[in-house]
Amino acid sequence: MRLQKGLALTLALSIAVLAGCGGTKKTETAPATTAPETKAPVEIAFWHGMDPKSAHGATLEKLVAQFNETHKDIVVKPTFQGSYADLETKLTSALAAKTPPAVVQNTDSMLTKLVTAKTVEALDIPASEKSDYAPALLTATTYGDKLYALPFNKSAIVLIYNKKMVQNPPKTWEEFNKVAKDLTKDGKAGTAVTADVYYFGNHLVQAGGAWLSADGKTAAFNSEAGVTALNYIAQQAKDGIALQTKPKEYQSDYFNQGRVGMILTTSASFAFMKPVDGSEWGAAPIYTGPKNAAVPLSGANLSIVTGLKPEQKAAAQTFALWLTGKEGTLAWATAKTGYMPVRKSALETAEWKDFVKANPVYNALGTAVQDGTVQPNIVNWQLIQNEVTTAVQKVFLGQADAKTALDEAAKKANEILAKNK
Amino acid sequence: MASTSMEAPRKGSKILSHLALALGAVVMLLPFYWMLSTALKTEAEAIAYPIKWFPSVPQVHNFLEAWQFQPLWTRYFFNSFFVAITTVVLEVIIAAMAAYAFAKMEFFGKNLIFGLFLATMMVPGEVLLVPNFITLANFGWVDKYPALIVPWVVSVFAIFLLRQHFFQIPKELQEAAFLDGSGHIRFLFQIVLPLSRPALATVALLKFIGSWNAFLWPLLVTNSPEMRTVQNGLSSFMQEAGAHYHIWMAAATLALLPVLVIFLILQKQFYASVARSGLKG
Repeated sequence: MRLQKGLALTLALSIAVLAGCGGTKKTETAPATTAPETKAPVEIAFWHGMDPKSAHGATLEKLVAQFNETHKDIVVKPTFQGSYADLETKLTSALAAKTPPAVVQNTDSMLTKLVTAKTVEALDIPASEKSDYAPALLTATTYGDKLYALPFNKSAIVLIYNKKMVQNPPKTWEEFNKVAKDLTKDGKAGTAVTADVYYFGNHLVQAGGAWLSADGKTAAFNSEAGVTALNYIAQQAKDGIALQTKPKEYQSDYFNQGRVGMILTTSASFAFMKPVDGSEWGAAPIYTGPKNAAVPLSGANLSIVTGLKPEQKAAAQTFALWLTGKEGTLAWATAKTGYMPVRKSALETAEWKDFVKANPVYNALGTAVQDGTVQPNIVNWQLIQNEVTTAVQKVFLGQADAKTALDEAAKKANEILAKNK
Repeated sequence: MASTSMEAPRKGSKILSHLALALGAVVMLLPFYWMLSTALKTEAEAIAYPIKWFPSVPQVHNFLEAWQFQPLWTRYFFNSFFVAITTVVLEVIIAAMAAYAFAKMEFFGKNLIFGLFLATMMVPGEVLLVPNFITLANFGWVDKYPALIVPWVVSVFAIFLLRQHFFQIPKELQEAAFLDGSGHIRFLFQIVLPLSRPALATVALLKFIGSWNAFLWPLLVTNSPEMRTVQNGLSSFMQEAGAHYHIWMAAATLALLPVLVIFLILQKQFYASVARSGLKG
């Protein structure tokens, strides 16, 4: 289903590009009836997937209002377009109809499709700004040597624990298993695992592995490290110290129900942590693996669509840089959105340090800027993800051992990679 | 003796079939029970494990919270009602006229045209999403009511259903009406439609439910929150990383009420139609 949808969207995007070639874009601009002497502000549309009813969306709207207040020559009009998937469908249609917004929020996988379809601009930002972003985040949005998006709302995988059940959050794989084992009693388990590409990915880099070879041409996740990582999580389920979540289930629900004492989850779910037994919860950085202290990152970026008028493009870039700038990202992160500051300079401010002191769970995000890792941003990565998920599930079901399953997935991944060229 | 031995197995099979029906009813009703009971639970009870089947103290204020959560509810409900009712009225008129032409009139290429109509039912809606959007964008209808209504006022299924129904109206009625000086339009609206109330109710009800439940299309063709519908508002309760199920279910209950009321109003006609179509095929 996901595969088909991905294909359909890729197709639709390619059609959009074909149809859009050479055509002038109609964008939502302010009416041209302006007096010649007073320059009318440039109006740009901004589409996002942050529901105004959530802390995320409310904060975003406040920030946009603040931007409009401080930049008299630009008017940004934000529109909530549903979940990321809905936003993507909507953007695909709008691109085909040549009525896209100027700035659009996108997830990493969506960005790859947009870049392939040449519907978003390569960004030219000052080097001083560029070096201030968390390095892993820029890796995710750089294609070839060009930057196509600025990281905006980024979350990190953190370790969330029930304070009544766990006093000292574990710091290594072994410690984690030990604590999980102690918690496994009276119908409860230590943690919750999901047999998918993401949960496996949380451990792959930690074990010293990589998704792809250095040249990006072949799969590398079937390495010894990959086997170690997959065996580590599958064994937790086999030993009963971890409950396996079913599709569409939130790990946070298992945690809130009190069925498990610890979970690895994204910091974006902070707002949904509420153990029903009323006990407090804490967040710690994800444990360190046998080889690395890798912190998997996810979330979304800001891109500028192609075909804008020069003044709109400039306005769009000013806005994207401001929202992901030191002040913008700080305001965003300290509004308890669960997202991390994407700028190194923001981490250094007294404001952030005071915020973390008052809200210790956000301490868990500190290491994310340094040790963050992301999945490859190559074409058809989703197809490869599907293969990896299949492999992980096979191992959880006991249908194959880790090496065999990963080798099989790697073979299919290599076929996909070969077709990409 | 003979008569009781005949009746006993019949009674037994009746009990059996009622049991099967009751089981089916329970399966159908369970999600609704779950929605309503979750709407009355506390947040802790809503996600409790093992499952809690009854709220210990009904939390009626959940409904108030669900209503207050979304300040645009009144607007969403108005939009959904306006769009659904307009769509239903237009669809019924168009479908009735088309069905009448196919059932009661003779013209060149009738069967071919009807065949083409039916063929469009085979095209999956997802395929039409982008082309339809482009068309509407070129009309300048994005973020306006026509975009929510016009694409849905012609339904081949409705035409098909009404056509089958119109076939059952005796030819003699038409001859008598025409003898008295009636034309096609008058015959359709004064004689055929009043005789087809059950079929019309079915078509109207299905369309109302379809329109009321539409999610993706309204999201696609609107940009301002003021133009969106109840289902778009409902999706606010499910967020990226979690959900508050009890409030969400309270909101879902509120969103379901109009459909329930309309169904209760049209119920009698609807059953008549189902029963009749079952007989006649």
